[in-house]
Amino acid sequence: MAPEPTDWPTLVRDHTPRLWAVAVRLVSHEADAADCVQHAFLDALRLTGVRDWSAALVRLTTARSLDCLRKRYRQAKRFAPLDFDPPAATPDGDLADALRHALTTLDPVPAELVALVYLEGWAVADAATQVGVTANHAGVLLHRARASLRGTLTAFDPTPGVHRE
Amino acid sequence: MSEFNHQPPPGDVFDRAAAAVRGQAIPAPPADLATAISAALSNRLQLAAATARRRRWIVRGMSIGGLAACLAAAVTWGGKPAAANELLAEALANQQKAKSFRAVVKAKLANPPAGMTPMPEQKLYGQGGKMRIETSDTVSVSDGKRLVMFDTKAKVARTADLPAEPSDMAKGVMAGVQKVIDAQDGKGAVQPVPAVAIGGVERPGFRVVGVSFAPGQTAEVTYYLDEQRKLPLRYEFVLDKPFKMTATTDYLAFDEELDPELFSLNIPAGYKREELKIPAAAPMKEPTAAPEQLAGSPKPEKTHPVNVLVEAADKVKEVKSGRVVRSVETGGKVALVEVIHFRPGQIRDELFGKSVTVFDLAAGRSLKLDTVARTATVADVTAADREGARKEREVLVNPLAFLATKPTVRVVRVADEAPGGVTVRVFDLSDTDFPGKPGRLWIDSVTGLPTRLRDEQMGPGVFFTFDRWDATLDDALFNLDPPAGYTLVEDKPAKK
Repeated sequence: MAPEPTDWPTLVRDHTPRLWAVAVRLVSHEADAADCVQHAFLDALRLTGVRDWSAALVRLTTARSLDCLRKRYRQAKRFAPLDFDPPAATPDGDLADALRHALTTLDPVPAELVALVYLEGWAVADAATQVGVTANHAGVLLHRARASLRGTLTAFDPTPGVHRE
Repeated sequence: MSEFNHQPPPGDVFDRAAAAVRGQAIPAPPADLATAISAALSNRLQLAAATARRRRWIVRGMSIGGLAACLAAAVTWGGKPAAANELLAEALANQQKAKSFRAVVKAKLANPPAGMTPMPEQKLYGQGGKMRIETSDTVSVSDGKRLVMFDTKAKVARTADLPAEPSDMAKGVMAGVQKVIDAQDGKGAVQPVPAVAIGGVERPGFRVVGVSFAPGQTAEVTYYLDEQRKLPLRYEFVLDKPFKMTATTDYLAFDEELDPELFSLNIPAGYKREELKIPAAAPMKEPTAAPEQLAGSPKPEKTHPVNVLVEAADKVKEVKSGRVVRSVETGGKVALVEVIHFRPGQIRDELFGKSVTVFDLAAGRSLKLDTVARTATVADVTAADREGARKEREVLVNPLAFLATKPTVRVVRVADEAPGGVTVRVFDLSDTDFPGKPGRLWIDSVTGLPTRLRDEQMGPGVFFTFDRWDATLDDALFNLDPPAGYTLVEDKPAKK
């Protein structure tokens, strides 16, 4: 049975670990992830008539995390990075970061869909419901988003051009 | 569109990138994260309650039960009858035709936000656009244009002109009531509820659910009716957000000849008169709070410019952690000069293109990185280091503290700004000691903490940007281990 909408302590207790994982996966930074989860809960105060709090909170956390990434890369563009920071080093780390960066180049709705479907493993229909589009529309957005992301990530692809849309 | 379109082929660069993200190790969440979130939620709910109270013009300064009173009044004189439920429609129609009414409102709060006290019972009287609301120690009388609030204990009469236009709160209530009535028009939102005994007689009830009367605020409305007279006898207003409240209005009488003295705005002898200002109607919206504000109840906003620097500096002294960015902005270009992260006992100072210094005063150790020579020095914290860290916190983290001590500084409030939707109060600073070197200060209207400071006394185009006040800072920022690529050099004591 879903908790009462005003039973925030229960919602926080039950969902924070899951939301934390969603945020850390996307922003790859613990302090930012904590901020994102907190903001997601604050955003949730505005929701009414929520049937699935878990899905709604994951969606809000995803949106907040993407906002955080956009801000991070916008600032990175504005200010030169600190030169003493050791690089992440592993190719997987580079590829993951490249995807995070590439997600910020998408519009918010496709970016959320990509994160929910490909990173959180949601069904397209479920993700579509949460972001407020039809499943067919979500499919089109995902198709375009993937093509765009693949283009952005080409630098990491040893065999560019093999996979056709 | 086939499902294949959503699934990248194996080996696709996007597929590998997504797998890399999914495969990232997830650390355990911080132990205090849930606590911090709960505190932030609690604080936000308090703000919502405070905002709602500020905008409740007709019952300003009175009680939350006034919300029900407001709604009751709206029901009495507003709305239109509908046909879905004939008895309810007729009762509402008769109610709006009533020339007067008497009622009692009782409000009950479940799990009220911190700081919100139980509300007293209220007696309502309405007649021809006039209203009287009585509680144990206050009486408010309004003729629709003017409001007088009599504090019967303090013997003070506070008077105010009411806005020509109802506030958005009143509009919201009216719209909510309209929805209630519209909901009876074939939408099936009216549900019969079990009858209750009122005055020893079973009275039928009808509930309308999901009445939205303000953004993010919905209520359930239930009427219990007098079938013979076709008038409402009881009206229950159940608010779910931002807090749980039930306000029950019992109608004692309709169409009575009420004593005109009940609605007299004359101030009796012995009462001190004070003038109130009713705030202009503002759009109802969710209150905003600083993202990093995790705990503590917001204090009422003070706008007297003279105290601005002192108040902001004092608030900064109370924060435990934060980040300060010093930059120089000239000709549209921004150069980052310095970033300071601090939390209790620890401070990290990054001077771009020069050095990074981390002090862990609790551990008594420090790390100094020369980012040009790429050398790292780990050393014990000296007394001089401690003093330096203290001064750094005072001077760079809280530059307002110094400005607040200067009698020559003048502060003038200018137009508010709203970057990112958060209202920020803006003040122009000038110092007669430094003519021609103005400053500007931006203060978050919710937290009272500075968000930005332009300080020309520190140099042309110098800006301090304050963010992440009281936020949880990454432990890695205060790591005393030399990063990879840096050569550890011996810490040599300075020659005397």
